[in-house]
Amino acid sequence: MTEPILAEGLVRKFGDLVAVDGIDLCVAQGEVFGFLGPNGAGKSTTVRMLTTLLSPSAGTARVAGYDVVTQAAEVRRVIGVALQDAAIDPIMTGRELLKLQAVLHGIPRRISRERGDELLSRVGLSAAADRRVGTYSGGMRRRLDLALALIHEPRVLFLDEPTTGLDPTSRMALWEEVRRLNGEFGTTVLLTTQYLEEADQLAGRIAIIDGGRIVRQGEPEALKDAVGSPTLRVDVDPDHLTRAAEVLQKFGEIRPARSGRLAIGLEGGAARLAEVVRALDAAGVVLNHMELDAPSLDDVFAEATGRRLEGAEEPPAPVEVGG
Amino acid sequence: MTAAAHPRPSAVAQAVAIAGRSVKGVLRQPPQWVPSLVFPLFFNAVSAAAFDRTRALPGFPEVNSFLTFLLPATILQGVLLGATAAGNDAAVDIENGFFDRLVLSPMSRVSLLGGRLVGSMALGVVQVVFFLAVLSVFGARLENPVAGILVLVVVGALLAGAVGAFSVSIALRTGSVEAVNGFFPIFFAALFMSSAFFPPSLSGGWFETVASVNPITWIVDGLREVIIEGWVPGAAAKAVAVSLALGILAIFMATRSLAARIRT
Amino acid sequence: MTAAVEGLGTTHEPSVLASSGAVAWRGVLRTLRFPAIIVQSIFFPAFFLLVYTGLYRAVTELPNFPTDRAANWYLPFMMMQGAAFSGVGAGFATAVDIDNGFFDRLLLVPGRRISILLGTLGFALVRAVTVAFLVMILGLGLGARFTDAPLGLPLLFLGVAAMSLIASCYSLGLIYRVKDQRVAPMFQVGIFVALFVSTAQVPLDLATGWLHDAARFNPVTNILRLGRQAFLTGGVTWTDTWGGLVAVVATTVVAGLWAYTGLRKYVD
Ligand SMILES: Nc1ncnc2c1ncn2[C@@H]1O[C@H](COP(=O)(O)OP(=O)(O)OP(=O)(O)O)[C@@H](O)[C@H]1O
Ligand SMILES: [Mg+2]
Repeated sequence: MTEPILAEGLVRKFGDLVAVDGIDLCVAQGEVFGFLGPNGAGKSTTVRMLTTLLSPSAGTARVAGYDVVTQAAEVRRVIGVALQDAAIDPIMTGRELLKLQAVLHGIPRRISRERGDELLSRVGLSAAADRRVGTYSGGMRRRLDLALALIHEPRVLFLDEPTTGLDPTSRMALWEEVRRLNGEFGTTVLLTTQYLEEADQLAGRIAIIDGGRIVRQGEPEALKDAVGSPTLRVDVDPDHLTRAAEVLQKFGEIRPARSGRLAIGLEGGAARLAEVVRALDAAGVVLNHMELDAPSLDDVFAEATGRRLEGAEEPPAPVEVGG
Repeated sequence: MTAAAHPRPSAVAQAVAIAGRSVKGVLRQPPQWVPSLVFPLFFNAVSAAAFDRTRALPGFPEVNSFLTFLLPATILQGVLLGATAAGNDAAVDIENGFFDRLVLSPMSRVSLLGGRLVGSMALGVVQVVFFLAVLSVFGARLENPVAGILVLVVVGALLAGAVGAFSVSIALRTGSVEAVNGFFPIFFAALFMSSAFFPPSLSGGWFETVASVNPITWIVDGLREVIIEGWVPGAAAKAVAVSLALGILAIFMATRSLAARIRT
Repeated sequence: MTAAVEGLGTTHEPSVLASSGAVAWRGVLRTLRFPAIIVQSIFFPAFFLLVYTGLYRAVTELPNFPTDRAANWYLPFMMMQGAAFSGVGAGFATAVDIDNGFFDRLLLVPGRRISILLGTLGFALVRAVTVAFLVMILGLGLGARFTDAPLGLPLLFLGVAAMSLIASCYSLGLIYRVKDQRVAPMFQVGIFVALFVSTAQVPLDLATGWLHDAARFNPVTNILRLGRQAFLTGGVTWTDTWGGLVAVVATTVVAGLWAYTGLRKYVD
C-alpha cells in the first residue's frame, strides 16, 4: 500500500518570494499528521499544492498514490478538503451547499440526502441547515466546511487551520470528530495549526514548518525529549535582568523567552531548583515569579527557530553578560 | 466683535479646500474619470461613422460632419459620466464616516456643498476643452470658435454642477454608493430620449413628442445652433438658461438633502 | 453507519455532464434568489431597442436600406447585445466566487475541471436565450415583423447563442488569468467595442470611413448578418448565411480555447 501523502522537495515560489522551500513529507496510512507553524510559514501553500489547487514550482507529491500534477483529477476524487478561509457561497443555504457538493462527487441522491442530514447533525447545524450561509457565524461556517469536506467520505482529509476562530467547546467537538474519523474509518488526516496544544493533542506525528522549510519532524513526545532539560522561566525585577542572566547561565543554556523574562534549559532538572534560588538571592536579584516546565512543543519550536510560537512574537531579550 | 484665537476660515477658503480634495479624490482613481473621457469619444466616433450618410436625408440640418452634429451629445455624455463621480465620492465619504468629520469641523454648510460642486464644474470644463480639442482634429467644426467654446464651456460647467449636485443629493439622502450608481441609467436614458443623437423631427412618432418636452433637447438645440450657425444670442441664452435652471433646481434639492442628513 | 463504512474510499465517478449540471444549477439558484440580475440584463437591451427604433426610424429611408422597419433592423442586434451582456455576467459571477474563495471549492471537483467551465457557460447560455427571447417579444410589440421565420429564427438564435458563448468565454478567460475583481469593467469594455464596431447601427454599405473598414473584418458583423435574415427583405440566403456560420464556429472555438486554457493555467 502506498503512503497517502508523499512529497519530495516541494517548492512554491510567488515571484521572488519562496513560500515553500523544499518540503519532504511522508504520512502513513491512518495517521493524523500535524503541520505546525506561525503565520506565513507556508502551511496553506503546502496544503494547496497537495490538494491540486496550486502547481508546485519544483518537486513532486503523491496523494493516495496519485501524482498531484499529472493525476490531479484522481487525487481530487479521494481527498476531502476544508480550506483555511471557509470557501462558502453566502447566498446558498447549508443544505444546498451539501447537495451541490454531493452531486459534484457523483453521490446518488438517496445516499447523499441521508448522509447530508447525518453530517449536519454531527456538526450541530441541523437547525441552521436551511438558512443562508451568509447569516452563519464564523464557527458555524467552519463546521459546515468540515461537513462539506466529509460528504464523500474521503480517504485523505486535509484540514487547514480547522479550529482557528472556534470557541473552546467547538474546538473540542472538532477534535473529537477528527479522532472519531481517524479511529472508526482509518481516515488519514493532515491538519495545519498554529496551536501547540492542538498539534500535541491530535497529531500522532508533527512537522514544524517555518519560513517554508520543515525544521523538525517526528512524534511530539520524541521531539520534546530531544530538547532535553526542562525549561526554567524566571520573572525578575527589570533592573536585575542582566545580573540574573549572569547567574542563570551557570545552570544551563539560555533559551528564547518573552521580553522581560529569562529562560534556561535547567541541567539536572528540578533537583537543582533550590540551588538556583540561593544563587539568585546571593546575587541580590529580586524574584517575582518562577516556573519549571517539562519541555513542550513550544520549546521544540524555540530550539529549532530561535523564536517562541505562543505569546509575544519578539526575539529573546538581549542578555548582556559581564560588565 | 473680538477676534477669536482661531478665526473662522472664510467660506471661500473652505470651499476651495473641499473642491481641491474632491478633484484630487477623483483624479486619484482613474476608473472614475478615464471612462468619462474615453467612452463618449468612442461611442460618438462610432455613431458619427455609422450615421454620417443620414445627413443627406431631407430635413437634416446643414452640417459639415456628423461629428459636429454630435458635439453636444459627446459633451453631455462626458459630463454625465464625470459628474456622477462627485455623488459617488460623497457617498463613499458618508459610508466611511469622513462626512461626519466634515460636519463637525467649523465648516460653513455652504462650502460643504459648494466645494464639491466647484470640483465637479472644474472637471466639466476640462472635459469640454478635451472633447473639443480631440474632435476638432477629426473634423468637428465650430462656426464661430470664440462663441462656440465660450457657450460650450459655460453650459458644460453648469450641467456638470447640476448633475454633480443631483448625484450628491442622492448620496446625501441614501448614503449609498449603489444608489448613486443606480441613478446613472436614468440620466443616460434622458440623454437618449432627446435630440442629442438624431434630429427628432426626422424620427417623428412618439419619439419626437418625448424629445420635445425633454429639457436636454432644449439645451442641445441651443448648443447646436451656436455650433452650426455661430453667435446666435437667443440660442446661447436658451442653452445657458435651461442649464442654469437645472443647476438651481439640483442645488435646491442638494441643500434640502444636506439639511435632512445633518438633522438625523 | 454500515453504508458509510462501505462508502469509505470508494471513488465515485461523477460524469462531466452531472457536475456541469450541478454548477449550472447553482447559477439558476442564485438568479432566483437575486432576480435583479435578470432584470438588469433585460433593462439595457430593452431600453435601447425602444430608443433605437424610435430615434433612428428615419435611417430606413436611406437608399438600399434592407428593410423599411427600424425595429426589424435593430431587434436582432439588441437580442445579441442582451445575450452578450448576460454572457459577461458569467465573468462577474466567477469574479465574485474567486474573491470569496468559493471558486476553490469548485476547483476541488473530482474528475475533470472542464465541468466548471461547461456548467458556467451552460447557465450563461440559458440566461442569454431567455433574455433574447423576452427582447424579441418586445421587438415584435414595437413593430418588428418576420420575413423568413422558419429558417431565419433558428439562425437568429444560433447567433444569440454564439454571442453569449463568446462573451462568457472572453470574460471567463480574462478573470481566470487575472483573478482580480478589478478587471471586471474590462469585460464590458471589450464586448462593447466588439459589438459596436460592426454593422450594429447601420448596414456595411452605409457605414463610412474607419468604421466601414473595421466592421468588415469584425466577425460580429457576420454573425449579425446571419441573424438578421429572419427580418430583412429577401429572407434567408446562402450568401448571407455561410460567412456567419464560419464566424460562429471560429469565434466560439477561439473564445472557448481562451477560456479553457485560462482555467488550466489558474492553478499555476
Ligand atoms: N497567491 C499568493 N501570491 C503571493 N504570495 C502568496 C500567495 N499565497 C501565499 N503567499 C505568501 O506565501 C507565504 C506563505 O503563505 P501561507 O498562506 O502558505 O502561510 P500559512 O503558513 O498558511 O500562514 P497562516 O498561518 O497565516 O495561514 C506568505 O508570505 C504569503 O504572503
Ligand atoms: Mg494558512
